[in-house]
Amino acid sequence: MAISLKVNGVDHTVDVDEDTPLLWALRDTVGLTGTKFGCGIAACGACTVHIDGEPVRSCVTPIRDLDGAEITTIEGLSENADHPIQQAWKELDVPQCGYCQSGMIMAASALIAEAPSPTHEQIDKAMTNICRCGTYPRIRAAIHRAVKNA
Amino acid sequence: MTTIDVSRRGFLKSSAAASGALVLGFAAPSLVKHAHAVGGGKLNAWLEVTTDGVVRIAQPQSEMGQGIWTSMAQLIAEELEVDWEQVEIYSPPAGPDFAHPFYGFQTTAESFSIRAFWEPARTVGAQAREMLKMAAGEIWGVYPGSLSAKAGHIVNPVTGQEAPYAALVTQAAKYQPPETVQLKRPDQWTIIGKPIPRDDTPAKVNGSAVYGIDVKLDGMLTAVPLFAPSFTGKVGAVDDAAALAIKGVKQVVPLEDVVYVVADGYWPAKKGVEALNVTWDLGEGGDFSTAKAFETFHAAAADGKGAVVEETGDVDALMGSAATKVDVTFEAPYLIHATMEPMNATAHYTDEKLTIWAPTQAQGLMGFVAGAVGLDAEKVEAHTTFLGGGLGRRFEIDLPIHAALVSKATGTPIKVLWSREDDSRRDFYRPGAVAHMHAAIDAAGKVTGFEAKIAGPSILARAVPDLAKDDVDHTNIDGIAQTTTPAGVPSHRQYDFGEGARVIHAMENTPIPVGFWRSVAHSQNGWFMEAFINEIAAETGQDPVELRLGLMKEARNRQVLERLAEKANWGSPAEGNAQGIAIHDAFGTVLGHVIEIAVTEKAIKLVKITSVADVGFAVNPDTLEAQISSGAITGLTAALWGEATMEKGVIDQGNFDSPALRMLKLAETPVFDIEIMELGGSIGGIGEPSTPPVAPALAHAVFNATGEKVRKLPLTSLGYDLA
Repeated sequence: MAISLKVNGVDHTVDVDEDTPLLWALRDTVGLTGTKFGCGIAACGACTVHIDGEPVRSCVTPIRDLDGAEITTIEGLSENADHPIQQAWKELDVPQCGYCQSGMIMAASALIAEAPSPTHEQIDKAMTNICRCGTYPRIRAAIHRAVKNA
Repeated sequence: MTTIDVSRRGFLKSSAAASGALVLGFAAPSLVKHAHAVGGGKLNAWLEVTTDGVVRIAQPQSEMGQGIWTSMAQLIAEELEVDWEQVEIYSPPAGPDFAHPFYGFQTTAESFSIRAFWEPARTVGAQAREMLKMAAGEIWGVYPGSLSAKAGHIVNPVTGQEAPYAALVTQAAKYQPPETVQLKRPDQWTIIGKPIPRDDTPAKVNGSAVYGIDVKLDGMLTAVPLFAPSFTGKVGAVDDAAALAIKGVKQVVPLEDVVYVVADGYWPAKKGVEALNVTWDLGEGGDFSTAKAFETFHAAAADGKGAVVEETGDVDALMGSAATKVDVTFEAPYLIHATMEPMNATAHYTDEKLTIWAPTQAQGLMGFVAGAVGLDAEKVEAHTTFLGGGLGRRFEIDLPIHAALVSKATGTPIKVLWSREDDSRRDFYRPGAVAHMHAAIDAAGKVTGFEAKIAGPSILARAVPDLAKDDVDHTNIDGIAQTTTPAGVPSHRQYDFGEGARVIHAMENTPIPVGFWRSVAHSQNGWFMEAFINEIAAETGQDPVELRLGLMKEARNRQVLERLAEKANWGSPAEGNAQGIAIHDAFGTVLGHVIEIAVTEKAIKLVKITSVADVGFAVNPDTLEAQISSGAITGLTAALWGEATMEKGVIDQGNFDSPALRMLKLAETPVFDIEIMELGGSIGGIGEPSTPPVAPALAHAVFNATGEKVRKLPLTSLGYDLA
């Protein structure tokens, strides 16, 4: 059964089961591999995308619910990797292995869209993605830097 | 499982950076490709200059977050004399040109990239620089020694004539590299020692970085496993009818201990796995448990079974006549790696050639993968992607072998992709171990004798049997024994216990596979050693810093410890808080932590970590700082929650919702205060040294806060958790 997904402003017809999680439709069918697989149970956040501007863990979001939704992945967050969050991530060299960072950036960009000057506690509550390398100190600093630069 | 025969050569040298002998790819002139007539071309396996002056530097080590993608290139670029803006870094196909100077085959392990390539990589750059001067000298008819190199140009300082490297590289490639070259002095460095921004950061913030899981090939199918519920299990009968009926599933491929479902994507393959019906022959491991393993370890350690790996003085007499004895039994659990990127490998088999794409740490072992599918070792071409974490797990070649076998069965390129649960349950775990530790103390509080009786499984007995000769594996004793193993590998301890020391290790192998986990031997031996030192201090009423200063052999270690104590205000935590301290010497680096916590009942708040490390020389201070917090967070996660347990043949832990696989989050992370010292001497590694001192420092802080002695990890096993 063919389902239409609007990803980064472009319509894609995907012919996979409607229970397919958005993560796998993006990676294996549409071919956008920036969104990552870490756990499959929405525990790690590596699969975070925006759906109508909200951060969503795509590994547990079946595509059947996404007709008409505006999906944004890391590839579509900005034209030239120049979203303030991405800029701040570069300025402070946040990534180490980098595997969690697509999800981190999508979570952080959604946070500052919602709360343009987030408090320490708001950052704690919103940034629950797992980073196995432990880049957390720089993530926090980069969110503050992005706010300053925006 | 594959075992490896390596010559002893690499391991007979000291564990410090390998001396001289550079065996890096300077191809004979006839083998060098000549590029365009207008300039540009390949100088050797490491270096290419394009017509527009881009200097392409090969980076053959595995980038898993350490930042060597950038810092390795800094070594070469410095000597080559190019502006960093001209540099383009890329991952080359694996090859003998990139053999690790110490191990003799291409691999990234033991925090040993920068320190092993420290001399050889700078020499590659310097030799290239001199060969470019020789080319200019020949073209201009002048003595090359009178020429200088600057910003990608060879310049004649007398005439002002200059030529870009692109115009010279083809000619330069014809020469034999000079045997002796002059390397720059530290005060001349403009690239080494600078916090150069990571070259891979842009790709890692825009989603374009390619990890193993992201590899895409025409006709590629995805293979997802169903494993036997036992490490010794074998496939019996396979009923795949329901799996094959699922849309997208193409084929079902049974191997020896696992069945792979092959489909046009991960999701249909996963559904196919759930629809499989397989009967298994569980083998002897079907009934095994970690409780049984630890029973064996406890008994062996208590009895002092096994090999005496170190013995000086008369330890029995010293223990017998001691004024005070400190006797403690410690335990360290099995640990799961849990790299952020689940395990995967991609292979394309043809009867002519095997091509592998993988987030691997063992490029140089891919010849064994070729052998597994009946091809000669030279018939393999291996490509290294970025690694979403390595932690030592990616040194194993089990997935490349699976991918090659499945590709051979399907006739297509195959990406083997494991779920998080498969990843956790089919790990090569950090070995569990038990250590009985004894110290003889005289009336003045001085340690006069030391004994450690350790029991646990051996990694090398499986992975590299030659190195486990006479049942002594240095990865079981390094950090706690001062000795050389029968296989010729040195093991080091930073403390001298005076009149007598004895270390015994009982190699007790079990069906639970064990492998290299971040800091390997030091992850459990740093725990045993440092926790024991802290107990001696407490028992004898001595300050833990003063006690260590009296026991340390090297002035360097004392210097780092003193700086740590000063920086952390040792002995003066904030009101209501407690501190703990530990310091370890491994991988050429001396690194210590003071961890400050607040404890209420059994609820811990991590307040601050102060870390001081001496690395000899800092190639990139920014990536060094990042790795120190990284290794510490690995250590914190493990000390708080980490363990792999098994009740009946299957590891209990599967995904991050399992308490023992809980990962530290941003909200829980303490403040870091990190200082890097550069005391000269040899250059040290940084990928792993920050992990070993964490568990003992944290346990010490808990003791200072509560009075409870922590002898077992994780802390949750004693009822502690984060607030």
